[in-house]
This record gives sequence, structure tokens and C-alpha cells, in this order.
Amino acid sequence: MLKHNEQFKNNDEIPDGLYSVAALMTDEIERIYQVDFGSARDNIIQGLVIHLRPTIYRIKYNLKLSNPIYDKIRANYNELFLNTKSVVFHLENYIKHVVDDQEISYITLHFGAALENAKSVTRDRPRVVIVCGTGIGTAKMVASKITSEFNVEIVDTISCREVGTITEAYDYIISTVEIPDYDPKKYIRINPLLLEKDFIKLGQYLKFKYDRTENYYNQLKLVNRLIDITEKYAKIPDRNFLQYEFLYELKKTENHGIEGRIEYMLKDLLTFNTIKVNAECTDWKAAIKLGTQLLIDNGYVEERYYDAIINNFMEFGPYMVVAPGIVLSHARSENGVNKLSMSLITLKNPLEFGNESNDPVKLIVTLAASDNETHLKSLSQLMELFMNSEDMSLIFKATNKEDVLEIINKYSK
Amino acid sequence: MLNILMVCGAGLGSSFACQMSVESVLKELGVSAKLDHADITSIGGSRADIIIAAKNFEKQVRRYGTGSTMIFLNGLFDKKEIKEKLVPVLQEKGEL
Repeated sequence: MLKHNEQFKNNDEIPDGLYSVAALMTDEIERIYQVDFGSARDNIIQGLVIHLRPTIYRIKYNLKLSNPIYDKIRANYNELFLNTKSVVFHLENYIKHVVDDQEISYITLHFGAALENAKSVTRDRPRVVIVCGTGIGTAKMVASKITSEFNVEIVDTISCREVGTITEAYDYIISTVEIPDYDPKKYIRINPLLLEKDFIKLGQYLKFKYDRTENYYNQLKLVNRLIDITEKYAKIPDRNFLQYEFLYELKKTENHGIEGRIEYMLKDLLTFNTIKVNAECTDWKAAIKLGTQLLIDNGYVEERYYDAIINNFMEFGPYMVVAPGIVLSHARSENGVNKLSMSLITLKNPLEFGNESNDPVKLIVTLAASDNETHLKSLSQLMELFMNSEDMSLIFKATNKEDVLEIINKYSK
Repeated sequence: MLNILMVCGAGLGSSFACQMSVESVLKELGVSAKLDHADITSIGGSRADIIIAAKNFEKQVRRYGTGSTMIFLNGLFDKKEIKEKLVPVLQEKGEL
């Protein structure tokens, strides 16, 4: 039962730490469900505190409460129940006592209601109002182009006459027309066809969704070259419009999700350019950086992929040391992966990563997956290699890339 | 059929590697099961009978307190360890 606990001496006072515990629980629910409670957050936390006061007293006095709809909750909202149970961990730590399932089911209802009312907004998504002449047509087309390129929430699409009467909260007004009697500094003016300069302008206020700026400029360069060639053979009535149409076609072919269903073998990914043997690294972070740098240098991932991997280590510990001497370094694709890729480095001097069972590390494979599937074939080939101790010791001892490549070829059937 | 879920931090690398090894062990044992891999936050929504993760994740996974049996591994694709820890669980569930 509860040991002598300072906080419960005075029955009337709300234990100080309870607010922080409720806030922590709410934070985690926000994280798990990827929602932002926004202005409702404080109410939700207060409501939870008010609920938890009697909960704590019931636990203290061993008064069991049963929830008449417990079975319904477990049947229909089990995922929410289990997620609530996982954040209740903070409450249990605080009162140093287990919270039983019946009590958890009540707390589940509390979060359930909060989530129902919450807008599922990803944090930091600016709210944008799109304006055109009529509020229909152009504004809707622009809205659709903008949401596919930037991380935004479109609050409304309106005509320029309605700008003065917007009731919802917003961060930016983007308009394709001049708004009469309105300070031009208070809105962003763009061309309805969203030309190159408009993307640059918007990029100053909004975050590009997939950090595709470089990709976009490369595409633009290609399109301009194609148009220059076309001009040699035909008269182009409207260059801007043609540019737009070409870019649109390119975008269509690009948004496939799964990389064109090509099957990637291990040897397609671990190539001469992405292997380094007998590297000398001062510590584990430097080693991880080296593995990632091989991918960064080839443009396969952004610099921030390295940060994401380090964050993984910090948050979850050295679980990526998956077998004795071997690290499978990776993070989720949305952290700056441009192309499915892999690198392999062996270390001249084995390094400690903090994994009791599998240190010290001699080999690091860095994997950058672009989606959930395309890497699976090559990864399973890699695993087969890892499970062959003879070939692995050959790789550990290899002094040149060719020897490593030969072994990798063996597994790429 | 048994439902087994492998989890890790990202849900695409080590959990899949683990899945492959578990698959191989099950084949040797002659047991069939439905296998899947995901990141750790998906545990709440899963109906797995058995959840397998690296030892590093033990604290976080145990928080979920689902009815699933949990197995924690030191080596994600050490077939010996997987067999050692999986066999008693399979026996208990009547699969062996």
C-alpha cells in the first residue's frame, strides 16, 4: 500500500506534482495520436487533475471502483485503453502504487472525449486562408497545390471581398488577387499558376513538406532545358504555362510511393561508393557519422538523417547493435531520406556502443529506407549474411572493398 | 493461428530483421504463425499473442500491459536465443 507520503497529509490540498503528472500524461497522448489539443489543452489537463484527485484518494483508502461500461470500453476502444494504460505509468510512479484497469478505463474516457474534440493537426502546421476573386475555382486549385507541397492547414478559401470578415484563427493569407483596402504587407500575393518565384516566396513562410526544394529546382532546370529544345522546333505561345504543365507531369510520375516496384538486391545498394573498410573512428558517434556521411555525400539522405539516428540512440538506447559486433544504423524515412540506400563500414579498432551483450562493434551498416517495403528484400539478404559467421569474419578482416563486394555478391541472388 | 509482433524504435529495420529470424526458427520447429513488424507505438492497436523486442525496449513495452506474452532479446537475430525463449511460450500456448 502507500507508504508514508508527504503529499497526502492534508486531504484538502491538491498534491503539487499532480498537475505536472496530468500534463505529462496529456503530452504523451498528444504524441501518440499526433494531435495538438491547442487552446483546449489546459482544460483537458485541469479536467484530468479534477478527476484524479478522488482517484488517488480511492487508491489510498483501497476503495475499489468498478466501471459499468468497462467491457464495452475494452471491446470497442481497446487501443485507446492500452495507450492510456501506458501513460498512466506516470501516475503510478507519482503515487507509488499500481492503478487498476477499472480506474484506467475511466481515465480512458477522459482522453477519448479530448481526442474526439481535438483537431488532428500536426504540430507547427500554419493555418492558411486562400483568397482569389470568387473564393471558388482558383482558390481551391491553389489550396490543393499548396497542401501537396507544404505542411499547412487550409482554414478557408474565400473571395477577396470576404477578407475583412474572417472569423477563424489563421497565420497567413495567401492571395492570387490584389485585396482592396487591405495592407499589402499583411498577405502573400502569388500567381494563380504557382510559378517558381511563388514557391520561393512561400518557402520563406511555410515549411516544404518533404524538403523537396532541391528536387524541385532540379526538375525546373530539366523542364527549362526541355522547353529550350522545344523552342527550336515550334513556337511556344506561353512559356510559363508550358513550364507549369511539364512540372505537373513530372510530379505525377514521381508520386508513386513505392519506388516503381523495382526489386533492389543487396548488391544494388552496397556498392563501391558506399563501402569503407578499416575506418578509424574516435567514438561511436563518429562511426555512425561516417556511415551516414557515405549516404549524404551521394545525395541519398539529408544531413538531418544523422541527427535522427542519434536521437534514436538517445531515446531508445543501443538497440541497433543487433548482433555481436554489428550495428544496423537507421531511422524513419521521413527524416530526410531521398533514395533507398545502404552503406557499410568496418572499423579498424572496435568501438563500445553501450550494448552489454553485443559490444564491441566492428561493422556498421547504415540503412536509409524510403518507404515501408522496398528495402525488405535487400535487408533480408543482409540478414542472411549476418547469420553466416564465416563470411562475417571474412568481412571483419577485409582490407579492401573488393573482397567485401565479392561476399555481398554471393548474397544478392 | 498465433499472432506474433516484432517491434523496435523505427519499425522498419531491426524489427524486420528479428521477424526473419523468428520465421526461420518457427520453420525449424514446424510451427506456423502470423508474423508482423512495427514500431513500438503500434503495440496499443495490435492484437498480438506474443510481442518480441530488444531488451532495450523492455521498460517501454511492459508499460502497455497488454495480455500479450512479451519476449525480450539480447540479440535480435540470434536464433539460439530466440528458440530458447520462444519454445516455452509456444508450449504454454499449446503450439508445441
